[in-house]
Amino acid sequence: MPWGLALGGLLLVVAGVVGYFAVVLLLAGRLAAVRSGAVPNWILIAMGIGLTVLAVRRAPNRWVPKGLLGVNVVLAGFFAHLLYVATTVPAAPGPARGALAPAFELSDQKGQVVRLSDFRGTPLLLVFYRGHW
Amino acid sequence: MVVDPVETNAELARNAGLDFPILSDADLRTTDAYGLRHRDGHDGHDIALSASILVDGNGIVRWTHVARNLRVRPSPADILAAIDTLGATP
Repeated sequence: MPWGLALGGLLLVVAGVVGYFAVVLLLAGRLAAVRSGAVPNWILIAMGIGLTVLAVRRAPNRWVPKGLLGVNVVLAGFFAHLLYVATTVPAAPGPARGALAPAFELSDQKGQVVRLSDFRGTPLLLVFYRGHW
Repeated sequence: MVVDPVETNAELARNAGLDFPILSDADLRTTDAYGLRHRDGHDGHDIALSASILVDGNGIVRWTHVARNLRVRPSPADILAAIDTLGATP
């Protein structure tokens, strides 16, 4: 059943790609490792491409398995582009380790002024995020 | 730290139930001081790059992570490991 194999392969690849967006949009906070590494998604995609390759080998003269293999490769390429090219941001070194952290004086969400010096004597994690949510 | 105004941060803190300070750096002065401006990062506006900076009790930068990709953030385990090193060499 090369058609069944090829179709199963396509479904796996689609599940890998669509599943990634489901994780990012719905569960990003709980599955940060999947968001960063996308390892389960790539495993699904590799399995899907493997199934379509198998389907092409079993029925080398049929065009449907070949077409679905092509679709799978394009989908994988699109996914790779999105993950590793389109979402890249400019490189910046940030502050040097071992240097004094630059002082700041900013308002918190209650309108109260917060200074770096308020945290003297205690470790402080500063998180810069992109905002515009 | 974020370019969003205080009111936006108040809403975020309320909606997400956050009790740590969310600081508004609307003019990007602090973002620039930390070398983290992302020019044209959002619809033609300048914003901050995603970054985590660990500062020790003496105000010294001890660990940094500046994201090169929108998707990638340091894991809680990475950050906790960095915090653990502070105790080792105070």
